[in-house]
Amino acid sequence: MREIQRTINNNYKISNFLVLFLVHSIQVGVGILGFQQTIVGIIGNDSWISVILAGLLVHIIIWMLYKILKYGRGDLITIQRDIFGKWFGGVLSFIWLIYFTLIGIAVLRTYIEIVQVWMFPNISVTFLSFLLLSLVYYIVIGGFKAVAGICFLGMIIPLYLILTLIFPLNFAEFQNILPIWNHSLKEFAISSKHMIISYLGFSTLLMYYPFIKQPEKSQKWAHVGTS
Amino acid sequence: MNLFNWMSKFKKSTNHTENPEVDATLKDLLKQMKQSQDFETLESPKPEKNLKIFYYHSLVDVEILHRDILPYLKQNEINSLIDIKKVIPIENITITNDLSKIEDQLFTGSIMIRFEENDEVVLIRAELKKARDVALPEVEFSVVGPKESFVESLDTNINLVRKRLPIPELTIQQFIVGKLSKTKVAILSIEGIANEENVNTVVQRIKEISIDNLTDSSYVTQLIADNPNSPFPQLIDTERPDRISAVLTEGKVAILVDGAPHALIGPITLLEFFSAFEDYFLNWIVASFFRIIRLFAVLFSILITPIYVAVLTYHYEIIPKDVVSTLVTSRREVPLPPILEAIFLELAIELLREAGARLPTKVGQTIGIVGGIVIGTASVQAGLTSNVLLIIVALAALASFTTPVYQMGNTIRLIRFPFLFFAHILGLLGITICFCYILAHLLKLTSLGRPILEPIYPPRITDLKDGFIRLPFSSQSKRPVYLQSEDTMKFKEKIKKRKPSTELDG
Amino acid sequence: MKINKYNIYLIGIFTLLSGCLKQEVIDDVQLVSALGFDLIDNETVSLTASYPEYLADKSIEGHTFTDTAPLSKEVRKKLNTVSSKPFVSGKIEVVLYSKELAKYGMFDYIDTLNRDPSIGARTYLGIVDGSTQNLLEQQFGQQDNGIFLSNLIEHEIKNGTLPHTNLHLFTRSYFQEGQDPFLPLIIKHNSGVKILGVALFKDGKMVGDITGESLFAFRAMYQDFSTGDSIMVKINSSNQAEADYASVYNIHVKRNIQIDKLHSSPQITISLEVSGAIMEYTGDKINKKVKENITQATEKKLSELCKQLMKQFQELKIDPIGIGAKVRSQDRNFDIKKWEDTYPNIEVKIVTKVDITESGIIK
Repeated sequence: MREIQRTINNNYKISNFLVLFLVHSIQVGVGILGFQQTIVGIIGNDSWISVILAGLLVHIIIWMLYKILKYGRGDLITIQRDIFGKWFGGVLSFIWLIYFTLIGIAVLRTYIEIVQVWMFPNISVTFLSFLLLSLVYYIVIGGFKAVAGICFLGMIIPLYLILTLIFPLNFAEFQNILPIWNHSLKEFAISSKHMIISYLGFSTLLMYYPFIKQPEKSQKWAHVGTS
Repeated sequence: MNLFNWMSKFKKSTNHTENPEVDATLKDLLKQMKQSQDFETLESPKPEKNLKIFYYHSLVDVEILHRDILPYLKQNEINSLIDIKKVIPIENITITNDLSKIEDQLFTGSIMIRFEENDEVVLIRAELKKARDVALPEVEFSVVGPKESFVESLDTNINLVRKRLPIPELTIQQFIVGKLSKTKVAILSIEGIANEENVNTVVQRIKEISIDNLTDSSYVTQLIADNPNSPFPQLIDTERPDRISAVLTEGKVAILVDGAPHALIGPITLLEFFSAFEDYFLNWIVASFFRIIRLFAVLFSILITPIYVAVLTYHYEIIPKDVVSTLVTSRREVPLPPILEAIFLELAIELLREAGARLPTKVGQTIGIVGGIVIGTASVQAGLTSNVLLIIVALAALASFTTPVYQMGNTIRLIRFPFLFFAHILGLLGITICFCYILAHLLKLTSLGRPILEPIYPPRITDLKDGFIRLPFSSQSKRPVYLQSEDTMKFKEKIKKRKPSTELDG
Repeated sequence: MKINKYNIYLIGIFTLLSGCLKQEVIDDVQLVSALGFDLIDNETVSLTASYPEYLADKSIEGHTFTDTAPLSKEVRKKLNTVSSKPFVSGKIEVVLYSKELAKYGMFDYIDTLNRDPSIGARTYLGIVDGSTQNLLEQQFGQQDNGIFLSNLIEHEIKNGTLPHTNLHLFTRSYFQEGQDPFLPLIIKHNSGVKILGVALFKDGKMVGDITGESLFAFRAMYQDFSTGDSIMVKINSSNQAEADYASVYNIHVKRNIQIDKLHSSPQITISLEVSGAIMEYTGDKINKKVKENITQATEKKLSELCKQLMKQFQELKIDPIGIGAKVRSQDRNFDIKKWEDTYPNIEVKIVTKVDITESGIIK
């Protein structure tokens, strides 16, 4: 397992604070456009609590992930091979592979759906996914640094979009978040579960951990990225 | 490995002259040279000594020959080559039998004297110096600041730089590049400031160049670029010696090419392409403002026509209600879809620019004005384009000319077209996707191995002091991080300013 | 190079697939700027679409098309058969409904707007006293009808006394527990239009309206606002025979709704802080006493108007101000059914405080 870490050239590694952007950009995906409807449907005006609750849960999970990674000193695949052996570890890694592929497909499909609903109702799915996937391919062949770079710029450049959030605030009614806590615990749990779906993706940390220059120090950035 | 290859190649090319039968080959060489009409052979003023003088009269200052060589040969007793060296009052005299050296020297303006049938010769430098005077910079003219610019002569250019950096640490490494052109290429750097790695990268890449004819520094840019398939330039060229000296002190490496009035700078970042050297001559607030305007102009120039096409083709909803009538009225007579309309106008502008650039200055200017006004007005009246688009395209063209580095300006004009294409296919979504492609490309692009998007990515906050804005000199005490200079401090950080006493005497 | 081959492949795909998107080039579509719904009978509505034609001399000619159908999208199909260009709904600025339709129930025809992503949430809605077809067939000056109407409403909201309203706000108060929506009420007036007041809704049906001076009181109770509009008060001066009039302008209103005794017998206090300046006064001189009189008269007038309105609301069992929503946000066990029962009998106290900041420049 140690070879992996040794074989990754320092040139391909990223600064540890960029983990913030990696974690953040995988969470702020298309989920952000849809989660409100789902959870408001369940617990209405207390939605914001479950948003925070789910966030806290994610923090705990990230803390656990770091524990594992620090102990294993490698990425998920090497850790699994170390613990479960070549065959069973390989099978587990294969499951992870399928999981990540599914996440990718889900994100891509949701994105295309948004385009279809809001911009071009009759755009061809094949065409757009080909276009987007070729963009992804172009970025990925540039190495992990380019991926991290896109995550970074993808967060920095749309910062001006915050301005567009101010306009709806004209119509915001802050009294709508009151009264606090008028739903049952079960409702909170269900809605937090739905919320976590939009937070998913931080598990990719398991894969790119060896690409971080000083992985131990990057944990705090991962936490900042989540919040 | 590559270095070794190059060395062996060099040896091969010289080997054929280094024949054991020296006399025969020297004869061959002379015979070959005599085929040219400008190769002169003079018999000695004293026939009994069998002295012969050879030179290219097109390369040699004949006055030196008549004033400083021939009279002395006549007056003095000459028995050996050493005697010649003694009597002639020119310091640059070599005695050699190395054929490659003889060939070299003859072609760079030396006079060769030899005794008949002897393999040793005397070489006297008497080159004809015909070079343009140092003149005003034309491409990077600035109202304030020095007004010198590089010329075609490498020696003059190095002189212009050395004058500004009179320190022994300024090292100049020279190489000969080009199988036929034998162009001198000089690499300038300051020892102890420039990162060894950067210098070595440049040296290695220059040595690796394999080309027959190296005409200009722009050849070098293309030959040593990290990614030759990128539309983006990866080295900055400049004609200002003051800029070269300034970047050398930052820790960059400069490349000068004989015969090229432009020097190259590397490694560079993308933002430097949009900073004029004049920015450093102005107050930092003013300079920062201009720099931001320039960056805005670049974005405007690239995006405005594609946005026009995208909005008019797909997104009429986002046009403000008060602008709709203006837009629709202006497009009433136009039969072309927005994309063709835009491509027509963009191409017209490109044609005007191309025509203006190929013609003599005065004719070019007339073409520009006449073409701009006549074609513009006529195409609106003929209903080929809308006048709103005419204004947009003209503004975009104007904005693209604000880029201080010419090569970058070309790139900006070029990448507008893929944006137009995407805008036509997918509207604003297409523009976003195209923008992502360009971003991804830039993320991967490096200049001499250093990421070109720095300090934006990888983010280096300290380097932003001379990025989008230029902070005052007092805050510029550190050299840019990305150059990984061996001496990171430029100067002491704090300057104490003495305030004159305001108390009145008596 | 690998990438180059790849790019050529991409370009090939583009050219093959570029025809697959529906283009809507701005001059190849008919931009509908206003819609009007009229009730024909219980089954059908007629839809009037107003669209501008931009003429070469930069003037605008308004056109309308009217047809009947049970659903508005059906009408769009019919519209396309008479026009040389396809009709698109992305630039609809105003949607009008006739009073008859509003009374019959019109939420279906608002829902269809919400479902069309090309119709903005800030589209203005309005109720017309009369036929929307008649109104839209008229040409209002040099402008396009839709833009004219939307400018009219926008300006009334900004500078007049019309409370904030648009498609988004209407839908929100329609769905919100404890609030009922309202819309501006428009009437054809000579060769133009006039905003009469607001139409009040209950469950998507118009049940009443507020016109005239009460509108000011309604807006004051509905939201904080500043307006250039004025309020006129009659002052009984010393001699009863001739009354003096004063008008207060440049008004800023701050409102506050307070709920007491939430769980036993709720008591609502609406307090209004009004500040303004005196613009006109028919009397001789404004001195301290006159100012005091004007202040009191304004306070009195305002609270009377408000009380009348509240009475009207409670009789109609509607809550356009959103008192119910306010109560809900403070009550953990809010029950909308129970609230709807108690609302008509609730005691609402109006407290007004007027502050005259200046009395004009007197030479």
